[in-house]
Amino acid sequence: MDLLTNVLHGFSVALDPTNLLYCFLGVLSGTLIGVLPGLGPLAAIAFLLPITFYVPVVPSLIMLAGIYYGAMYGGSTTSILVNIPGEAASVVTCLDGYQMALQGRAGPALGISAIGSFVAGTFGVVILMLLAPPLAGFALKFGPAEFSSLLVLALIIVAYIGSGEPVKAMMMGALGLALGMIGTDQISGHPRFTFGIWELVDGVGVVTVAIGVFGISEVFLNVEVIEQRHLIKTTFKGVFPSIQDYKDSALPILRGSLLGFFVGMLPGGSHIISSFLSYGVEKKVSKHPEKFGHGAIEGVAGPESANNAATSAAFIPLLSLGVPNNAVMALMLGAIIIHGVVPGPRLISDQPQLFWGVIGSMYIGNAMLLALNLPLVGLWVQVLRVPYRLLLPMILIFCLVGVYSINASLFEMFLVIIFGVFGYVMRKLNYEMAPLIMGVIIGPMLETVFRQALLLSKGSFSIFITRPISAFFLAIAVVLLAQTAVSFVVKRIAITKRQK
Amino acid sequence: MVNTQRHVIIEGKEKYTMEFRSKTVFLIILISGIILCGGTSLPSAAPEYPEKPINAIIPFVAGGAPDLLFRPLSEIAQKHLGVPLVIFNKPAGGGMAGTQEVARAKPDGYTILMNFGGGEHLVSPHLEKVPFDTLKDFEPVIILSYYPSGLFVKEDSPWKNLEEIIEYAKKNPWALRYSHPGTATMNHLAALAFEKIAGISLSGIPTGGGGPALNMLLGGHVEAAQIGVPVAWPQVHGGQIRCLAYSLPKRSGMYPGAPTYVEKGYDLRFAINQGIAVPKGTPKEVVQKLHDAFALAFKEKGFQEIMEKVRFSPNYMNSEDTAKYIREMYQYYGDVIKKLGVTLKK
Repeated sequence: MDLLTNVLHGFSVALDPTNLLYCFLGVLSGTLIGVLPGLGPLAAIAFLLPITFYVPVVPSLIMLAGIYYGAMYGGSTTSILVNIPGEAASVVTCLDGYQMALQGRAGPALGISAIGSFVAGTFGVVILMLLAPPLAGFALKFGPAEFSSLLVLALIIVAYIGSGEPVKAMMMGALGLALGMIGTDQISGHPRFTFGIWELVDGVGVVTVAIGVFGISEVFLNVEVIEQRHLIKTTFKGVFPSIQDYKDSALPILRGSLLGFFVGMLPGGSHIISSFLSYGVEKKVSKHPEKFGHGAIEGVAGPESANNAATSAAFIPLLSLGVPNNAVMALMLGAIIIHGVVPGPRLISDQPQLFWGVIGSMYIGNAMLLALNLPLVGLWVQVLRVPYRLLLPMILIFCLVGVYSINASLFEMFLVIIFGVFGYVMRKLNYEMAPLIMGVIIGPMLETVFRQALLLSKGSFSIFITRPISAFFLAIAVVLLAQTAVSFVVKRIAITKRQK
Repeated sequence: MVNTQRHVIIEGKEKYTMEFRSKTVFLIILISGIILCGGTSLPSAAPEYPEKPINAIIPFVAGGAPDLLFRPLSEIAQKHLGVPLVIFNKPAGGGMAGTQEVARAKPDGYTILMNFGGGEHLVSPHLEKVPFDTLKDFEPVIILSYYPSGLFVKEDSPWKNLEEIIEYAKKNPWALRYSHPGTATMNHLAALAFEKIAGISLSGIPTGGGGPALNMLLGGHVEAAQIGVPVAWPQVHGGQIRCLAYSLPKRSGMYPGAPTYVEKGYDLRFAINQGIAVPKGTPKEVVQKLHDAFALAFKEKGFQEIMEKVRFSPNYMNSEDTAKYIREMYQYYGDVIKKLGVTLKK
């Protein structure tokens, strides 16, 4: 009963015309930021932060939150249409989303990612509303040891992400880990592998690598096959997902929501990891894993749901404990403090209109995003009608401007071209790019938490197995590895037998 | 490269030809060429400063404590400058990368360093090799505020005050673990200096920021945390953690109820400054214009209120005073490090 009054109170706050307007502004700019490659929600929120000083705290937070989850809706658009991840979390959407577009199914891909995002976003808000305080306590239990083991598990899943040979996927993953080592050692503060190029002290940006190996290399590849591409009949009869699509996507959306929510609330947890994990899980449980990478709708529905659920979950530690678990949340914390509201465990009771208002606005914002994005699907697919001779230069400019917008660095524009050439060559040789990105993302995170865990345990590796959550993840990792090894051996024996 | 006419599809899997076409190679060269040309800007006559947006670099993560101060400040100051101030967060290497970028930037006033006077500028150079010279590479513009570093434990921790935790640490060297924002930061030095002064040994865990360090304390992964007091204060206020001591010479009304190291008998006086600097060689008038704009913004009521809310102590200094203060503080921390024999090696 209490909850109901609170929720109603939240809606009454969120439905206030001013708040409604800020919510709309937030989700609209979030969608745009998501669509534009390069510029992510963090940069956008940082940029808009000063504006919120002149606006009361509730509409400020409603707007900033809208940008964050709105970006997750928009991020998939360019991934699906032109193979450029609009946002780092949408890298994995390129894999099957773009393949669907090539098969003339851009509409269903865009549609299911909007619907999946909506379901997951709403799911996330419901759990946030019901369970925020106890979950926040649990999330804090997640220390460096637990995180290391989760990332090890994620690395093992890398091998499943590729649709080609696992060995090649692992090679790319390893290369990604190596690339991730470039930059400053997070523990000692020393620059590594920078070869005296001081721009590299910051490391190689994930978005730069992703735009290079997906977007730019796509242009290079397409320049060669223009005539061929014209032969592909891109029909638009099914702009919206079919009944079969919904059936195929229902469980991935559900699993993606749960997984995304779990990863999203962890300290340092990232929606990027959640989308990769979801993809790996979907491929693992699928009855037809061979379809992944060739336009499986599950490969779009799962990850797109996961990253949206993760954004809702990221609010849990902030709103119930006052501790941000990622940089975007830290900015939100700043926005709250500036208004003189003290975030912390008492926030929910001291500032009910803030907590419940933001939650109410998230329901409304997700509905707005669905209403905003579904009609846009029809418009977006028209982009594919643009002749390649016009579309390709535009993609190229889009990619370069996108990369420049991150740090205003000319060096990074070179880097993106280098990665474009690299992606072009490697994709010709049948190497896949997603494991590379995964390596670049996981490498530095894993190194930092692994070393932190060993510092905490004063050098003893037992910390990874004596802590239950950590041991649990490692156990799954071992099972997965063993299973893969066994099936590999069985297959080999079968082949040798056949040869005899 | 080989130029073939036919497109090959193998087992329906391969989408692209295996050969590299000259067309693509040409395109790659073309784009690289265009970007290269963009790298060389044309010389132009010097017009009135400022005539284009100014890039401001905060060598810290977005959402860190410096953002809370410098983002609103920039918002107000750009009114006085007449051009936008574009903030970039460049956190790599505990502030090294961002600071170095400004040190190497053209001294034309279009690249400025925010958060000048932090640990990366005053402490790190005494402890490790850094890619810039704090005293020689910069033209100080202004100092706005400071905040202290503090030692925090959880509310339910067995140590109720500084004496108790020291007693425990003396009996159990290296047993106590504390999280801190990063190696050779001001907070890290404060902890290292405290260890020396109190004659104890603690195990430090670098975390990459005040927020993550606080998270680690709240999650019970470490026994204590040494972080900026403003970052931790909301949690103190919320009754989750306790401040055992903070590093100001006298108590401040901003942090009620918490003691200082000095009053407990440990001479630890560290302030983390928030200043602004430009590359050495920037024209005097440009420095003056920047100073005036930020000084005007500093005096505005709205900004004073923000400082109070984020619990930074206002501490305005003009360009000359800032230069003098930075030189003194650089010397001071150097002396502290030498006197106590603080090193990064354990």
